Amino acid sequence: MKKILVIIMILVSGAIFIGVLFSSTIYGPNGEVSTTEVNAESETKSYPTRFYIPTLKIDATVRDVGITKNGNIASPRNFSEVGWYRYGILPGKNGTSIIDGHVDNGLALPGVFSNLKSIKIGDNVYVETKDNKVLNFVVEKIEVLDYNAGTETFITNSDNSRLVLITCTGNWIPNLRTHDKRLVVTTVLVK
Amino acid sequence: MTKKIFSLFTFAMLIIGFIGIGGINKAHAADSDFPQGCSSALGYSVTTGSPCNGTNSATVGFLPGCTTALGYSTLDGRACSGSSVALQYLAGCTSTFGYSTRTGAACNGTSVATILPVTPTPTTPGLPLTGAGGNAPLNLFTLIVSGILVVSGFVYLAYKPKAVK
Repeated sequence: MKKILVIIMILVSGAIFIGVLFSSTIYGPNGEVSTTEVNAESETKSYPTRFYIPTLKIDATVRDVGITKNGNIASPRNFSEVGWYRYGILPGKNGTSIIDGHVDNGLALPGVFSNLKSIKIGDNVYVETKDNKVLNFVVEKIEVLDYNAGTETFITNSDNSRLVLITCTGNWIPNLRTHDKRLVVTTVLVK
Repeated sequence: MTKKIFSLFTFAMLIIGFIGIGGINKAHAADSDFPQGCSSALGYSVTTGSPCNGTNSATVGFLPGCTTALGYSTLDGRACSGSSVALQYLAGCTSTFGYSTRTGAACNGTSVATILPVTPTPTTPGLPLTGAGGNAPLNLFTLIVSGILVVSGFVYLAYKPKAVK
């Protein structure tokens, strides 16, 4: 009887160990909800696929992300990938497109945007699209906003093509389980 | 007896498979039954301008007992598409909402498209949650405790005291 209890304990503890390790390092649930709305951009051949910032040694796969039930932009499920907000603008089109990425994972190890705080105005940011075009953006503004600031402060319908990069920064708010600030880097398309 | 049941089961699966494949082919046939630029035998081709029914004069409006080009007539049970096969969805449509991606015609088979019901997506969504490092202490604690339980469980099973005879 004791032996059976010990085996059950091993199985349950093992499952918890694997589950926590997996969710905190590889796959982070992002709370995305499915909507019946079609993507704002239907030109799938222009979807972004890779993202580079050579000065920060960032080279990541781009996944498209939607929205959470709270109305926030969803974050990528993988801590080493970046997410392009698919209900917004395609990178390279006039207006503001958005790419987000994690600053760290569930074990406080660095995420894809852990070095984004070191970016400088004038740095180059590259986005490669599905049809193998490489878009070159240059950083024009770096700001830190409150976690609940909303995106209306930087989404513009200008004639220029802008790409905004977002990650978490600041202090952890335990009851909200998120950081209290967001690092927002605005870049503009140069070619 | 077991062999008989197995044979019957295999036979039934084969029949279901054939019916399934037949259904798929039928659906494709419905799609290719009409001239280029046509979703049904009604009206004119959007690419060539020729009548979709293959004659010199187009069938305008819907067949008797039909309010769209989809489904069957309520009067005579014939396919409303004007073909021998009733259409579930028009070519280039995956539902009855919106417009065909192939012909641009309304997917509900009428002249006015039904707008897709949407879960509203905010035009200015909130900022994303892009960090999980604050969960690290709890995650580490859980990993350590569960790891210790697994290891000690194995140790107990390996070295448990033998029953005294």
